[in-house]
Amino acid sequence: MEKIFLVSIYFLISLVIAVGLIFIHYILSEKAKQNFPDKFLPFESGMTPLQDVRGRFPVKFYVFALAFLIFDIEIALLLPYIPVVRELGLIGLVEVFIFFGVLLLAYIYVREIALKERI
Amino acid sequence: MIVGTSEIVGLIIKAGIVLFLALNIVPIMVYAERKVSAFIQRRIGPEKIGIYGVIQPLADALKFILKEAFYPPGANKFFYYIGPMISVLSPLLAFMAVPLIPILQPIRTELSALVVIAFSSLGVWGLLLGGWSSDNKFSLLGALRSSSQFISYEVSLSASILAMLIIYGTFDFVKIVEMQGENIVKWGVLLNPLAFLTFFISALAESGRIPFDLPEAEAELVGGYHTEYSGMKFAMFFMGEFVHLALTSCVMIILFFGGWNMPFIRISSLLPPDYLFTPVLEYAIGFGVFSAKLLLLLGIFIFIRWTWPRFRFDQLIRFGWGTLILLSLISIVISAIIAVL
Repeated sequence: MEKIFLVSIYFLISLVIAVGLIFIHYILSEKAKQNFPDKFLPFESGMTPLQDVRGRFPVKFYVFALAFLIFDIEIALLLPYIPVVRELGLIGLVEVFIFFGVLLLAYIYVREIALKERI
Repeated sequence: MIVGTSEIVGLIIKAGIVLFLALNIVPIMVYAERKVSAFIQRRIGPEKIGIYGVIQPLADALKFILKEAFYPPGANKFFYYIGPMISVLSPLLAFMAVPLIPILQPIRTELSALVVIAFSSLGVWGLLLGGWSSDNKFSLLGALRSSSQFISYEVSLSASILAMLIIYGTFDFVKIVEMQGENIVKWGVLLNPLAFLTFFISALAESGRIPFDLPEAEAELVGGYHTEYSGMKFAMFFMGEFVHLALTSCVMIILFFGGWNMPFIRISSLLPPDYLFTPVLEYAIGFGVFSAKLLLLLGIFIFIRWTWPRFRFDQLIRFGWGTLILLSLISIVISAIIAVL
Protein backbone atom coordinates (compact mmCIF):
# COMPACT_ATOMS: atom_id res chain seq x y z
CA MET A 1 0.00 0.00 0.00
CA GLU A 2 2.74 2.45 0.94
CA LYS A 3 4.53 1.53 -2.31
CA ILE A 4 1.59 2.88 -4.28
CA PHE A 5 1.71 6.10 -2.26
CA LEU A 6 5.43 6.51 -2.99
CA VAL A 7 4.93 5.68 -6.67
CA SER A 8 2.20 8.31 -6.94
CA ILE A 9 4.52 10.92 -5.39
CA TYR A 10 7.16 10.01 -7.99
CA PHE A 11 4.51 10.15 -10.72
CA LEU A 12 3.46 13.63 -9.56
CA ILE A 13 7.06 14.90 -9.61
CA SER A 14 7.64 13.72 -13.18
CA LEU A 15 4.19 14.95 -14.25
CA VAL A 16 5.13 18.40 -12.91
CA ILE A 17 8.27 18.30 -15.09
CA ALA A 18 6.35 17.26 -18.23
CA VAL A 19 3.50 19.75 -17.76
CA GLY A 20 5.90 22.44 -16.58
CA LEU A 21 7.90 22.32 -19.82
CA ILE A 22 4.77 23.01 -21.88
CA PHE A 23 3.58 25.61 -19.36
CA ILE A 24 6.88 27.54 -19.45
CA HIS A 25 6.71 27.49 -23.23
CA TYR A 26 3.12 28.73 -23.12
CA ILE A 27 3.93 31.57 -20.70
CA LEU A 28 7.17 32.86 -22.19
CA SER A 29 6.53 32.52 -25.91
CA GLU A 30 4.65 35.00 -28.05
CA LYS A 31 1.13 34.12 -29.14
CA ALA A 32 0.66 32.67 -32.61
CA LYS A 33 -0.72 35.29 -34.98
CA GLN A 34 -1.82 34.95 -38.58
CA ASN A 35 0.73 37.12 -40.34
CA PHE A 36 0.70 34.97 -43.50
CA PRO A 37 -2.51 33.82 -45.24
CA ASP A 38 -1.75 30.07 -45.32
CA LYS A 39 0.08 29.84 -42.03
CA PHE A 40 -2.56 27.80 -40.22
CA LEU A 41 -3.11 25.24 -42.99
CA PRO A 42 -1.72 21.75 -42.38
CA PHE A 43 1.65 21.30 -44.08
CA GLU A 44 1.20 19.16 -47.17
CA SER A 45 4.04 20.24 -49.46
CA GLY A 46 2.12 23.28 -50.63
CA MET A 47 -1.08 21.51 -51.67
CA THR A 48 -4.40 22.66 -50.27
CA PRO A 49 -5.80 19.73 -48.23
CA LEU A 50 -8.75 18.10 -49.98
CA GLN A 51 -10.24 15.68 -47.49
CA ASP A 52 -10.31 14.87 -43.81
CA VAL A 53 -7.08 13.36 -42.48
CA ARG A 54 -8.60 10.80 -40.16
CA GLY A 55 -10.22 8.74 -42.89
CA ARG A 56 -8.97 5.37 -44.04
CA PHE A 57 -5.40 4.19 -43.77
CA PRO A 58 -3.66 0.95 -44.84
CA VAL A 59 -4.84 -2.03 -42.83
CA LYS A 60 -1.38 -3.64 -42.79
CA PHE A 61 -0.46 -1.64 -39.72
CA TYR A 62 -3.36 -3.28 -37.90
CA VAL A 63 -1.94 -6.73 -38.76
CA PHE A 64 1.35 -5.75 -37.12
CA ALA A 65 -0.52 -4.78 -33.99
CA LEU A 66 -2.30 -8.15 -33.90
CA ALA A 67 0.94 -10.10 -34.42
CA PHE A 68 2.61 -8.00 -31.73
CA LEU A 69 -0.19 -8.90 -29.34
CA ILE A 70 0.43 -12.65 -29.72
CA PHE A 71 4.13 -12.39 -28.98
CA ASP A 72 3.73 -9.91 -26.16
CA ILE A 73 1.25 -12.22 -24.42
CA GLU A 74 3.74 -15.05 -24.92
CA ILE A 75 6.39 -12.98 -23.11
CA ALA A 76 3.92 -12.22 -20.33
CA LEU A 77 3.12 -15.95 -20.02
CA LEU A 78 6.81 -16.76 -19.54
CA LEU A 79 7.24 -14.24 -16.70
CA PRO A 80 6.06 -16.59 -13.89
CA TYR A 81 8.75 -19.05 -14.96
CA ILE A 82 11.56 -16.69 -13.94
CA PRO A 83 11.50 -17.03 -10.11
CA VAL A 84 11.20 -20.84 -10.25
CA VAL A 85 13.71 -21.70 -12.99
CA ARG A 86 16.09 -23.57 -10.70
CA GLU A 87 13.37 -25.24 -8.58
CA LEU A 88 11.61 -26.76 -11.57
CA GLY A 89 14.84 -27.95 -13.17
CA LEU A 90 14.55 -30.37 -16.03
CA ILE A 91 10.72 -30.58 -16.00
CA GLY A 92 10.52 -26.81 -16.44
CA LEU A 93 12.99 -27.00 -19.30
CA VAL A 94 10.87 -29.65 -21.07
CA GLU A 95 7.79 -27.48 -20.60
CA VAL A 96 9.62 -24.47 -22.03
CA PHE A 97 10.47 -26.58 -25.07
CA ILE A 98 6.82 -27.63 -25.50
CA PHE A 99 5.74 -23.99 -25.10
CA PHE A 100 8.21 -22.87 -27.74
CA GLY A 101 7.17 -25.73 -30.02
CA VAL A 102 3.61 -24.40 -30.00
CA LEU A 103 4.86 -20.85 -30.34
CA LEU A 104 6.98 -21.83 -33.32
CA LEU A 105 3.80 -22.78 -35.20
CA ALA A 106 2.37 -19.34 -34.47
CA TYR A 107 5.64 -17.73 -35.54
CA ILE A 108 5.70 -19.66 -38.82
CA TYR A 109 2.08 -18.68 -39.43
CA VAL A 110 2.79 -15.00 -38.78
CA ARG A 111 5.94 -14.97 -40.87
CA GLU A 112 4.89 -17.08 -43.83
CA ILE A 113 1.15 -16.35 -44.12
CA ALA A 114 -0.04 -13.32 -42.16
CA LEU A 115 2.84 -10.97 -42.95
CA LYS A 116 4.01 -12.72 -46.12
CA GLU A 117 2.94 -10.17 -48.73
CA ARG A 118 3.10 -7.26 -46.30
CA ILE A 119 6.79 -7.40 -45.45
CA MET B 1 -0.38 8.71 7.59
CA ILE B 2 0.62 5.43 5.99
CA VAL B 3 4.23 6.31 5.20
CA GLY B 4 6.76 7.95 7.47
CA THR B 5 7.98 11.47 6.67
CA SER B 6 11.58 10.26 6.37
CA GLU B 7 10.61 7.88 3.56
CA ILE B 8 8.83 10.63 1.65
CA VAL B 9 11.77 13.03 2.05
CA GLY B 10 14.16 10.27 0.98
CA LEU B 11 12.04 9.52 -2.07
CA ILE B 12 11.87 13.19 -3.06
CA ILE B 13 15.65 13.55 -2.74
CA LYS B 14 16.33 10.36 -4.72
CA ALA B 15 13.73 11.21 -7.35
CA GLY B 16 15.18 14.70 -7.65
CA ILE B 17 18.70 13.37 -8.21
CA VAL B 18 17.64 10.65 -10.66
CA LEU B 19 15.35 12.92 -12.69
CA PHE B 20 18.00 15.65 -12.73
CA LEU B 21 20.59 13.19 -14.06
CA ALA B 22 18.13 11.71 -16.57
CA LEU B 23 17.15 15.10 -17.96
CA ASN B 24 20.76 16.29 -18.07
CA ILE B 25 21.59 13.46 -20.43
CA VAL B 26 19.73 15.50 -23.07
CA PRO B 27 22.04 18.57 -23.34
CA ILE B 28 25.11 16.34 -22.99
CA MET B 29 23.88 14.12 -25.81
CA VAL B 30 22.90 17.06 -28.03
CA TYR B 31 26.33 18.64 -27.61
CA ALA B 32 28.21 15.35 -28.01
CA GLU B 33 26.20 14.40 -31.06
CA ARG B 34 26.90 17.70 -32.80
CA LYS B 35 30.59 17.62 -31.92
CA VAL B 36 31.07 13.97 -32.92
CA SER B 37 29.18 14.43 -36.17
CA ALA B 38 31.39 17.42 -36.92
CA PHE B 39 34.47 15.35 -36.10
CA ILE B 40 33.35 12.50 -38.39
CA GLN B 41 32.47 14.82 -41.26
CA ARG B 42 35.64 16.91 -40.74
CA ARG B 43 33.77 20.05 -39.74
CA ILE B 44 34.30 22.17 -36.64
CA GLY B 45 30.85 21.96 -35.13
CA PRO B 46 29.39 24.39 -32.56
CA GLU B 47 32.15 26.68 -31.26
CA LYS B 48 30.81 30.22 -30.99
CA ILE B 49 28.81 30.09 -27.74
CA GLY B 50 31.07 29.48 -24.76
CA ILE B 51 34.40 27.65 -24.86
CA TYR B 52 34.22 25.08 -27.67
CA GLY B 53 30.49 25.75 -27.87
CA VAL B 54 29.61 24.03 -24.59
CA ILE B 55 26.71 26.39 -23.86
CA GLN B 56 25.14 25.64 -27.25
CA PRO B 57 22.48 23.22 -25.83
CA LEU B 58 21.43 25.88 -23.33
CA ALA B 59 20.99 28.41 -26.13
CA ASP B 60 18.98 25.80 -28.05
CA ALA B 61 16.71 25.29 -25.06
CA LEU B 62 16.19 29.03 -24.68
CA LYS B 63 15.26 29.31 -28.32
CA PHE B 64 12.84 26.39 -28.03
CA ILE B 65 11.13 28.11 -25.10
CA LEU B 66 10.81 31.48 -26.83
CA LYS B 67 9.37 30.14 -30.10
CA GLU B 68 5.84 31.11 -31.12
CA ALA B 69 3.21 28.89 -29.43
CA PHE B 70 1.68 27.54 -32.62
CA TYR B 71 -0.82 24.77 -32.86
CA PRO B 72 -2.74 23.69 -35.98
CA PRO B 73 -6.38 24.83 -35.80
CA GLY B 74 -7.72 21.49 -37.03
CA ALA B 75 -5.86 19.59 -34.34
CA ASN B 76 -7.45 17.76 -31.48
CA LYS B 77 -6.02 20.09 -28.86
CA PHE B 78 -6.06 17.72 -25.86
CA PHE B 79 -4.23 14.87 -27.60
CA TYR B 80 -1.97 17.32 -29.42
CA TYR B 81 -0.63 18.59 -26.10
CA ILE B 82 -0.67 15.22 -24.33
CA GLY B 83 1.43 13.47 -27.01
CA PRO B 84 4.82 15.08 -26.23
CA MET B 85 4.02 14.93 -22.51
CA ILE B 86 3.60 11.14 -22.64
CA SER B 87 6.76 10.72 -24.66
CA VAL B 88 8.79 12.58 -22.00
CA LEU B 89 6.91 11.03 -19.10
CA SER B 90 7.29 7.37 -20.02
CA PRO B 91 11.12 7.09 -19.80
CA LEU B 92 11.18 9.37 -16.75
CA LEU B 93 8.69 7.09 -15.01
CA ALA B 94 10.69 4.03 -16.00
CA PHE B 95 13.70 5.54 -14.19
CA MET B 96 11.85 5.02 -10.90
CA ALA B 97 13.12 1.43 -10.69
CA VAL B 98 16.58 1.81 -12.25
CA PRO B 99 19.33 1.52 -9.63
CA LEU B 100 22.31 3.62 -10.70
CA ILE B 101 23.77 2.57 -7.35
CA PRO B 102 21.74 0.61 -4.76
CA ILE B 103 20.81 3.66 -2.68
CA LEU B 104 19.82 5.71 -5.74
CA GLN B 105 16.83 3.58 -6.69
CA PRO B 106 13.84 5.88 -6.00
CA ILE B 107 11.32 3.07 -5.45
CA ARG B 108 12.87 -0.04 -3.92
CA THR B 109 11.01 -2.95 -5.49
CA GLU B 110 11.60 -6.61 -6.29
CA LEU B 111 9.95 -6.23 -9.69
CA SER B 112 12.12 -3.44 -11.08
CA ALA B 113 12.59 -5.16 -14.47
CA LEU B 114 8.83 -5.36 -14.97
CA VAL B 115 8.36 -1.71 -14.01
CA VAL B 116 10.98 -0.65 -16.54
CA ILE B 117 9.51 -2.77 -19.36
CA ALA B 118 5.99 -1.54 -18.61
CA PHE B 119 6.73 2.17 -18.46
CA SER B 120 9.27 2.37 -21.27
CA SER B 121 6.84 0.78 -23.74
CA LEU B 122 4.25 3.48 -23.00
CA GLY B 123 6.22 5.91 -25.15
CA VAL B 124 4.55 4.62 -28.32
CA TRP B 125 1.28 6.21 -27.16
CA GLY B 126 2.87 9.65 -27.20
CA LEU B 127 3.92 9.61 -30.81
CA LEU B 128 0.80 7.78 -31.97
CA LEU B 129 -1.50 10.34 -30.29
CA GLY B 130 0.69 13.23 -31.43
CA GLY B 131 0.72 12.09 -35.03
CA TRP B 132 -2.96 11.24 -35.13
CA SER B 133 -4.19 14.43 -33.51
CA SER B 134 -2.18 16.99 -35.46
CA ASP B 135 -4.44 16.97 -38.53
CA ASN B 136 -1.80 16.26 -41.14
CA LYS B 137 -1.51 13.28 -43.46
CA PHE B 138 2.28 13.11 -43.18
CA SER B 139 2.04 13.08 -39.40
CA LEU B 140 -0.52 10.30 -39.43
CA LEU B 141 1.51 8.15 -41.82
CA GLY B 142 4.70 8.83 -39.88
CA ALA B 143 3.01 7.92 -36.61
CA LEU B 144 1.67 4.66 -38.04
CA ARG B 145 5.07 3.76 -39.46
CA SER B 146 6.93 4.54 -36.27
CA SER B 147 4.48 2.79 -34.01
CA SER B 148 4.55 -0.36 -36.14
CA GLN B 149 8.36 -0.22 -35.99
CA PHE B 150 8.37 0.26 -32.23
CA ILE B 151 5.92 -2.51 -31.45
CA SER B 152 7.72 -4.89 -33.82
CA TYR B 153 11.05 -4.39 -32.12
CA GLU B 154 9.57 -4.28 -28.64
CA VAL B 155 8.88 -8.02 -28.89
CA SER B 156 12.54 -8.86 -29.37
CA LEU B 157 13.61 -6.27 -26.79
CA SER B 158 11.45 -7.71 -24.04
CA ALA B 159 12.28 -11.27 -25.16
CA SER B 160 16.00 -10.63 -24.72
CA ILE B 161 15.41 -8.95 -21.33
CA LEU B 162 13.40 -12.05 -20.42
CA ALA B 163 16.26 -14.29 -21.51
CA MET B 164 18.63 -12.53 -19.09
CA LEU B 165 16.07 -12.61 -16.26
CA ILE B 166 15.73 -16.39 -16.73
CA ILE B 167 19.49 -16.78 -16.29
CA TYR B 168 19.54 -14.71 -13.10
CA GLY B 169 16.24 -16.10 -11.83
CA THR B 170 15.02 -12.78 -10.40
CA PHE B 171 13.34 -9.52 -11.45
CA ASP B 172 15.37 -7.43 -9.05
CA PHE B 173 17.99 -5.21 -10.73
CA VAL B 174 20.02 -4.77 -7.52
CA LYS B 175 20.23 -8.54 -7.03
CA ILE B 176 21.11 -9.03 -10.69
CA VAL B 177 24.08 -6.66 -10.42
CA GLU B 178 25.22 -8.25 -7.16
CA MET B 179 25.07 -11.70 -8.77
CA GLN B 180 27.33 -10.56 -11.61
CA GLY B 181 30.01 -9.26 -9.25
CA GLU B 182 33.43 -8.05 -10.30
CA ASN B 183 34.30 -11.33 -12.06
CA ILE B 184 33.94 -10.56 -15.76
CA VAL B 185 33.11 -14.19 -16.64
CA LYS B 186 29.80 -13.88 -14.78
CA TRP B 187 28.69 -10.78 -16.68
CA GLY B 188 25.60 -11.15 -18.81
CA VAL B 189 27.36 -10.34 -22.05
CA LEU B 190 29.48 -13.46 -21.71
CA LEU B 191 26.71 -15.64 -20.27
CA ASN B 192 24.42 -15.15 -23.25
CA PRO B 193 26.00 -13.18 -26.13
CA LEU B 194 23.05 -13.86 -28.42
CA ALA B 195 20.68 -12.09 -26.02
CA PHE B 196 23.08 -9.15 -25.88
CA LEU B 197 23.16 -8.94 -29.68
CA THR B 198 19.37 -8.94 -30.02
CA PHE B 199 19.01 -6.51 -27.12
CA PHE B 200 21.52 -4.09 -28.62
CA ILE B 201 19.92 -4.10 -32.07
CA SER B 202 16.39 -3.74 -30.76
CA ALA B 203 17.51 -1.02 -28.35
CA LEU B 204 18.78 0.92 -31.37
CA ALA B 205 15.42 0.44 -33.09
CA GLU B 206 13.36 1.19 -29.99
CA SER B 207 14.99 4.56 -29.46
CA GLY B 208 14.84 5.41 -33.16
CA ARG B 209 18.57 5.62 -33.74
CA ILE B 210 20.13 5.61 -37.14
CA PRO B 211 20.03 2.28 -38.86
CA PHE B 212 16.38 2.29 -37.82
CA ASP B 213 15.52 5.99 -37.66
CA LEU B 214 12.48 5.74 -39.92
CA PRO B 215 10.31 7.83 -37.57
CA GLU B 216 12.24 10.91 -38.61
CA ALA B 217 13.40 9.91 -42.08
CA GLU B 218 13.43 13.51 -43.24
CA ALA B 219 14.27 12.69 -46.86
CA GLU B 220 11.25 10.39 -47.30
CA LEU B 221 8.58 11.75 -44.99
CA VAL B 222 8.32 15.46 -44.36
CA GLY B 223 9.28 14.95 -40.76
CA GLY B 224 7.40 11.98 -39.43
CA TYR B 225 4.97 12.19 -36.55
CA HIS B 226 6.23 15.58 -35.37
CA THR B 227 5.66 17.50 -38.62
CA GLU B 228 3.17 19.90 -37.04
CA TYR B 229 5.08 20.38 -33.79
CA SER B 230 7.28 23.35 -33.04
CA GLY B 231 9.03 25.00 -30.12
CA MET B 232 9.15 23.22 -26.79
CA LYS B 233 6.59 20.60 -27.86
CA PHE B 234 8.94 19.52 -30.66
CA ALA B 235 11.88 19.51 -28.28
CA MET B 236 9.98 17.31 -25.85
CA PHE B 237 9.80 14.50 -28.41
CA PHE B 238 13.57 14.69 -28.72
CA MET B 239 14.04 14.83 -24.97
CA GLY B 240 11.90 11.73 -24.70
CA GLU B 241 14.03 10.01 -27.32
CA PHE B 242 17.34 10.84 -25.62
CA VAL B 243 16.08 9.94 -22.14
CA HIS B 244 14.78 6.68 -23.57
CA LEU B 245 18.21 6.03 -25.06
CA ALA B 246 19.81 6.67 -21.67
CA LEU B 247 17.27 4.35 -20.06
CA THR B 248 17.97 1.46 -22.42
CA SER B 249 21.71 2.03 -21.93
CA CYS B 250 21.25 1.85 -18.15
CA VAL B 251 19.24 -1.39 -18.49
CA MET B 252 21.93 -2.75 -20.81
CA ILE B 253 24.67 -1.95 -18.29
CA ILE B 254 22.69 -3.54 -15.47
CA LEU B 255 21.79 -6.71 -17.37
CA PHE B 256 24.95 -7.27 -19.39
CA PHE B 257 27.88 -5.22 -18.04
CA GLY B 258 27.79 -5.68 -14.30
CA GLY B 259 26.19 -2.39 -13.27
CA TRP B 260 28.31 -0.49 -10.74
CA ASN B 261 30.91 -3.27 -10.43
CA MET B 262 34.41 -2.47 -11.54
CA PRO B 263 35.82 -5.21 -13.80
CA PHE B 264 38.34 -7.54 -12.04
CA ILE B 265 38.64 -5.40 -8.88
CA ARG B 266 36.21 -5.47 -5.96
CA ILE B 267 35.60 -1.84 -4.98
CA SER B 268 35.52 -2.54 -1.23
CA SER B 269 38.99 -4.14 -1.43
CA LEU B 270 40.43 -0.79 -2.53
CA LEU B 271 39.25 1.04 0.59
CA PRO B 272 40.38 0.76 4.25
CA PRO B 273 37.69 -1.30 6.03
CA ASP B 274 37.26 0.74 9.25
CA TYR B 275 37.41 4.24 7.84
CA LEU B 276 34.39 6.45 8.57
CA PHE B 277 33.61 7.39 4.98
CA THR B 278 34.20 3.96 3.42
CA PRO B 279 30.53 3.28 2.49
CA VAL B 280 30.18 6.75 0.96
CA LEU B 281 33.38 6.31 -1.03
CA GLU B 282 32.25 2.87 -2.16
CA TYR B 283 29.00 4.30 -3.50
CA ALA B 284 30.84 7.23 -5.10
CA ILE B 285 33.27 4.93 -6.93
CA GLY B 286 30.40 2.67 -7.97
CA PHE B 287 28.53 5.66 -9.36
CA GLY B 288 31.65 6.77 -11.22
CA VAL B 289 32.04 3.31 -12.76
CA PHE B 290 28.38 3.27 -13.79
CA SER B 291 28.62 6.73 -15.40
CA ALA B 292 31.82 5.78 -17.22
CA LYS B 293 30.10 2.72 -18.70
CA LEU B 294 27.03 4.80 -19.58
CA LEU B 295 29.06 7.48 -21.35
CA LEU B 296 31.01 4.80 -23.24
CA LEU B 297 27.78 3.16 -24.45
CA LEU B 298 26.23 6.49 -25.46
CA GLY B 299 29.43 7.29 -27.36
CA ILE B 300 29.11 3.99 -29.22
CA PHE B 301 25.50 4.90 -30.07
CA ILE B 302 26.59 8.27 -31.46
CA PHE B 303 29.36 6.71 -33.55
CA ILE B 304 26.90 4.16 -34.96
CA ARG B 305 24.53 6.97 -35.82
CA TRP B 306 27.07 8.81 -37.94
CA THR B 307 28.52 5.70 -39.58
CA TRP B 308 25.58 3.70 -40.87
CA PRO B 309 23.02 4.37 -43.63
CA ARG B 310 19.29 3.96 -43.02
CA PHE B 311 17.23 0.84 -43.71
CA ARG B 312 14.16 0.86 -45.93
CA PHE B 313 10.83 0.21 -44.24
CA ASP B 314 10.30 -3.24 -45.79
CA GLN B 315 13.88 -4.24 -44.88
CA LEU B 316 13.25 -3.06 -41.34
CA ILE B 317 10.07 -5.07 -40.92
CA ARG B 318 11.51 -8.16 -42.61
CA PHE B 319 14.60 -8.00 -40.41
CA GLY B 320 12.51 -7.48 -37.29
CA TRP B 321 9.94 -10.20 -37.82
CA GLY B 322 12.06 -12.60 -39.83
CA THR B 323 15.40 -12.60 -38.05
CA LEU B 324 15.46 -10.70 -34.81
CA ILE B 325 12.39 -12.18 -33.11
CA LEU B 326 13.50 -15.71 -34.03
CA LEU B 327 16.99 -15.02 -32.62
CA SER B 328 15.61 -13.59 -29.39
CA LEU B 329 13.28 -16.57 -28.91
CA ILE B 330 16.26 -18.88 -29.45
CA SER B 331 18.18 -16.88 -26.85
CA ILE B 332 15.37 -17.51 -24.33
CA VAL B 333 15.74 -21.27 -24.90
CA ILE B 334 19.54 -21.01 -24.54
CA SER B 335 19.11 -19.12 -21.27
CA ALA B 336 16.72 -21.74 -19.92
CA ILE B 337 19.26 -24.45 -20.76
CA ILE B 338 22.10 -22.47 -19.12
CA ALA B 339 20.02 -21.76 -16.01
CA VAL B 340 18.94 -25.36 -15.51
CA LEU B 341 22.25 -27.05 -16.23
